[in-house]
Amino acid sequence: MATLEQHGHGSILERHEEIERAVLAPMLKPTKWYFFGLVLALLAFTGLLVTWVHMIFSGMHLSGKNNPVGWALYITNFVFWVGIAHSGTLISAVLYLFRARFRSRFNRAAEAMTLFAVMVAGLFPLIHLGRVWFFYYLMPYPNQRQIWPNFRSPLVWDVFAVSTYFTVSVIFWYMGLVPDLAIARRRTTGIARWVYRVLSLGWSGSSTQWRPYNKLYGLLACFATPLVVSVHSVVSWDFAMGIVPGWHTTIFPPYFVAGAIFSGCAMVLTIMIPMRKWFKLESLITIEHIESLAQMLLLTSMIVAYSYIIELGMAFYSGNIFERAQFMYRMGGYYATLYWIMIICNCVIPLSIFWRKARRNLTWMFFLSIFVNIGMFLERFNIIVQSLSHEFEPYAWGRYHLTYTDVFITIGAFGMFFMLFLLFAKTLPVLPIWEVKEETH
Amino acid sequence: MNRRDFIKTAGLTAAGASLLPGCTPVGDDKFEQALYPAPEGIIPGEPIYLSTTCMECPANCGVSAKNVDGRTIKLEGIIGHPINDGGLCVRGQATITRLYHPKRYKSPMRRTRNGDFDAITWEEAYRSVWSALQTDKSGGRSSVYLSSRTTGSLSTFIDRFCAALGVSRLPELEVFSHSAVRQANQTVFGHKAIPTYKIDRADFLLTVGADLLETFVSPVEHATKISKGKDTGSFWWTHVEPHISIEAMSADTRLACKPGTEAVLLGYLLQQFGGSVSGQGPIEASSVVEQVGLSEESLTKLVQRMREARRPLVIAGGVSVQHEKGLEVAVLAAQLQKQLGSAAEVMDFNSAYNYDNVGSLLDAEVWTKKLNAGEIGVIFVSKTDPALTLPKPLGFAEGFKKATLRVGLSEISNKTLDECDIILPLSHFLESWGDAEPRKGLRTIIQPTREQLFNTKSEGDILLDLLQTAGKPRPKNFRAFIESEWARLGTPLTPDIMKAGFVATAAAAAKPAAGPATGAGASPVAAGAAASVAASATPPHPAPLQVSFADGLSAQLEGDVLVVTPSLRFYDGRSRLLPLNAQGATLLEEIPEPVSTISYGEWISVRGWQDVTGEFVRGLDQIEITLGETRLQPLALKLQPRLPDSVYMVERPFLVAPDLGIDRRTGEPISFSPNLKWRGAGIIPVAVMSGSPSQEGRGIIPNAVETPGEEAAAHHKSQRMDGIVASEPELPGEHEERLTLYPEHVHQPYRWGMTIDLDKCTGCSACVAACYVENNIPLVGKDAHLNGREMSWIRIEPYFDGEARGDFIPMLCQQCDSAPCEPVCPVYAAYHNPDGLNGQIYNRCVGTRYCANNCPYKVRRFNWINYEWESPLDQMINPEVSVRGRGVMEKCTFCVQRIRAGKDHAKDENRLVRDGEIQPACVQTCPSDAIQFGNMLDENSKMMQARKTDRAYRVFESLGTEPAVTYLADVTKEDEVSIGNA
Repeated sequence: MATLEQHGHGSILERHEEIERAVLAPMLKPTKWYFFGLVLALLAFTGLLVTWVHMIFSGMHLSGKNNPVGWALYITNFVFWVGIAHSGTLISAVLYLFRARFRSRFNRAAEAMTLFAVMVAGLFPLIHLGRVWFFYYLMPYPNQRQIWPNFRSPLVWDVFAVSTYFTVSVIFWYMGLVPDLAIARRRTTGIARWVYRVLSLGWSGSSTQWRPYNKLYGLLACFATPLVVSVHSVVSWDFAMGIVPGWHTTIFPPYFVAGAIFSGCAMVLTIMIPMRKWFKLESLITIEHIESLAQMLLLTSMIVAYSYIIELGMAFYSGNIFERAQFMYRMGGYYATLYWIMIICNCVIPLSIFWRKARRNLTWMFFLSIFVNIGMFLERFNIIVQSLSHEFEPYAWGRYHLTYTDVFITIGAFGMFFMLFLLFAKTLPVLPIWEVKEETH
Repeated sequence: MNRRDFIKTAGLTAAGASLLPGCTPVGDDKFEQALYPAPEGIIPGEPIYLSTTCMECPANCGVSAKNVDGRTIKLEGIIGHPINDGGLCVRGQATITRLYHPKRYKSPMRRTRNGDFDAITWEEAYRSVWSALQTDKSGGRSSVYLSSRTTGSLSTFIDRFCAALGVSRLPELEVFSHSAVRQANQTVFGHKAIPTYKIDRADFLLTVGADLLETFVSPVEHATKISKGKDTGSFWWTHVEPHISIEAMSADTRLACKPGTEAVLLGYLLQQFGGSVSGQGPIEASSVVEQVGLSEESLTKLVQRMREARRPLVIAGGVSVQHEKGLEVAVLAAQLQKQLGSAAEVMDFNSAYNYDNVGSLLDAEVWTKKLNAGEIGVIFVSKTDPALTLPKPLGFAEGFKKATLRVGLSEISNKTLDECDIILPLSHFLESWGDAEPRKGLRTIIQPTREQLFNTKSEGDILLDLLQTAGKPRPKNFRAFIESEWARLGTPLTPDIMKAGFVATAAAAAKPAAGPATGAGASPVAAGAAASVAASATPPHPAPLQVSFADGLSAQLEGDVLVVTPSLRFYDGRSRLLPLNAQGATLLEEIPEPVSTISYGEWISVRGWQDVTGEFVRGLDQIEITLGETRLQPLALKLQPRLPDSVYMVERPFLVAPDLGIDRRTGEPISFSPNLKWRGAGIIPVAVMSGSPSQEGRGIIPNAVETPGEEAAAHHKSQRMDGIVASEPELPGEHEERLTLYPEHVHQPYRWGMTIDLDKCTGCSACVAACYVENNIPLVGKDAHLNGREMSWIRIEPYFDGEARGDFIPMLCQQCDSAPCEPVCPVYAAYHNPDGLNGQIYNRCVGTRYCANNCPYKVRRFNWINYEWESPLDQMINPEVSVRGRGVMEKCTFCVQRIRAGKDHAKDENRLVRDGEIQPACVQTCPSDAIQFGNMLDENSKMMQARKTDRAYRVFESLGTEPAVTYLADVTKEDEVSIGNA
């Protein structure tokens, strides 16, 4: 009740009404800016589809890969988007279990982000296949030749890890949505109301429903938590299991998980700060909430920085000439600029969060999150492309060069992500109303 | 009718009913093919081998052409052939792309007024030529016949043709006429000829500029013999030249001299061995050091090695005899050889190379003058390209226009043929009859290995038809003429000879005007063969040149010097074909020149270390060279390690009508130009395939100082994990126990392996070409190379470090026992086969490219697009190897199709495969016999025996990949570039 008094409102019901209005307001009247953004995102996504189809019919030469650099921007994108997908589960499941209150302001959007990011990420292993029309060879399906996938290959682990993560995320997200869908049902009319009614699965909000619901939600949170660690660990094994200098290291799983959370939190900020303003959610998402997220960012940034140091330390301490050459190349080779931009974005700029004024400055936090996004994209690029271009055989050293196809597909991935997110923001409650309500008790 | 018959009949009927209406034009072909009975003597799918002679260059190696289903698909050297003994060079392997070149002349053609060519009939072509010949006669102009080096019956027939129609035959045109060497041999040994060099019998070989392994007389023969010499255990090869070539990279000692100073060194050596240099006082070692640019130490070593040698051999040639003191170099080399006293043992003038009809540029000067004076009416140009090769001042291009009728004979267009009025399309040697006499006492047969592809004829048949048009008597056809010739010479063409492909006759004793007798080691005598050689047809020699050395021994080459070198891949330019597919590729350009590693593009090399930052470069600086008044076309500037300072090196075929002058005494082209000036001209895309000239201390080619055996053992020790009991590995190929969840591979009874001797490998790239042809590797063209998408399964990597030297290593799939590519493939496309090969199943591959990423040797190749095999190139596809489609990874298979065939054959005979029975294409063609292939489980196999040396090592041993390829380190190499050496 203390909260209520602070806010100076009459009753709980009024307060609830206000929350519902505030959260559901964006669902009612789209502005022209919304449509503008949606069309832009749609265009970018169409660009991806068109270039991809062109590449399927023409050949992988349209991407800038070559002999030493067999993976480049597509796998970079894959790892980047899987990383983005991490914050969702982290914020919803882990913070839920830790009863971190600020999570309720972000978790719906973060979970949606997770889903969309996994969807985008899942596209890239397909895009990068030489013969995408045989992608099902990677699935264990019964066939008359009795050929199974090679379970020793990290790529097969990927298939399982990512699809499991996607499934669990969908269920978790949907479970969280059910009470809010019921609210939406109450506040809409016509077809929309019918749709929400179907989706809300007859939720009435009675205590007989709430009790098992809370149990299930907690259970799902427990179930999803290990996935936060597992998915990106498995993704990191794509590299750590290879013998390529710059890949073959045991630090990769924790390093990748931290990096994923880092980039995920940054992406949440990138999205939530403008959303908070445009959707007028200032009263619900306060500066303090953003601050908490910023502290997460700082922590993971420091873990990532620590990993970079360890990587270098291992390369130089081990006496392995291949590793050493690889990291010398990262720091001083053809792509060195990208390496140093990555260091600045991921390790230097986030240090400003230590300064209270900075982390409470939303403009700064917004730009910081963009820097981190750039930095984390480059990190994946550096790990993949730089390692491959400077492997064991000096004769075979070579460089990757960006092509239009690569650029269009990368932009298209962002387009797809934002398109899905914008659609989500217009159709579903962007904050978990029931949780926010709970917190006001 | 029982049940089985019913089902069979029903099935056949249904199949027939569904097939027939469904036939598209393409399908028709295949369907009909299956219905036609195979030509007589051909079992469908079963290869037959036909012996013939390679005419790609004047060396005339014996080749065995593999024909499957009526299509010639691969050439291999004839084993036991006196010239190449099983080996074949990069050009010989690639000549099949000339046969199947889509831009070959497909019928006779006449030039129209606007410069295009119209197809005409043979009749029309002959009538035009004949009437022009008659006009010449009445108009007082002479008609001439120009060809490249031609030997054997064809040469005889050309003479007959020329006599019958009043055409005068010009001296044969070869830029590499070796006339300086021939003249020197005349002066010193009394034979104006190039002897057969018995390199295998020598224990010390000194080559001065002679590009033994590239274009010098008979490259494959030399490579074979050097390899045999190395087998004796006491063989040392010292190579002196002003630039860098594969010889410099392959010789045991390489000495870089200042351009034009070879004669000083040779004069010094001659005096050291008691000879005198007329007109010159004693040459001091210090002056050699100063003038030639060698260190005193290496000079002493050289003299000492020569003193210790019992049968030293000195060969001068190549660019070293192509400057103003070139004749001095050649004569001093010959005198040194004579002085050393081993000439009779290591040189064989009885089986001298057949260069008697080959003229020099001085001869060319005579007839180009006539051309320019308008004295020549009809000119026949056969298989030669004077517009490219003759120096500009001779004015060939202008003079050629003044001829009344220019008749070109060739398979494919070139600069000269483009200017001709009548094109008479030649059949490729693989589809025509003929013979050759590469050297005295050796005649080889040329026989068709497949049907004619186009409406073309052999040169002999064309001349024969022209005789008929002129109403002169003629043999029935050229084949009949050859048969009569061979019968006349006492060796009728029996099936045995046709199968062997050659006859070695007793060489008539050469007429030694001076010099030691050359009786020892005459060529083997074929049974019943009578001695009769073309020696009698030798034109009378002019008096031997008297060479005085009073004018000095060193050519005046100051400032920056341009050296024009022969080309390993293109010879004098003749092997550089038009682009043959949509990618603008040719096979020889697809294979990088091994020293510079440039595949596509024209470049000039200059001393330097790394281009840009040491990875493959999309663009190089482009420069324009000015020589006196003339300005060359812009060339890419390639920085070349181990090239002496102030030397600019360019391959001859890149220069059109190079204007560097002619040596007035020998008629050799001058290949040096002093005081070169250059200026930048932007950036030009050139495909440099090497990512780094240095191996960065990675032990790919072990440093000569360290013993690789110890290095490998050290790797093993450092790798051992605690708590694992391991037996000491004895040989590469075994490994200690390791922790693994999976059972170790069991190989029984075969585990294929390879041993590659880097001491013998010369970087000649024949293996690369053989691999391309054998395995249907697509030719991807310049753009793909610029993007780093070359498809070669085997490549030659040069590395320029270690103890200050350069060396080659062929890199191919190492068929690792613990292969990094296998476990990462999600679909088992990369798998380990029971023979220990890393198999690649193309139709299982989905194209994740993970295997290629994880391959430390970087030998896996991805098909980025579908490559078309434009007709008739599709006919050179090896039917036993799948053509890979887009999106699929591919790699070296150790020629698994050959292994399969060998195993099947052995199984038919109920035995195991014999050692040496299976040879992958690279092993088969290697002129140096540097690669051994065999079963690693057979301790007695030649391949396993070869590994039992402390030179044996495996690349990246420390990675634990357990490669099946073992390299033998080259531990003897010395390299001196003291001129501006850094």
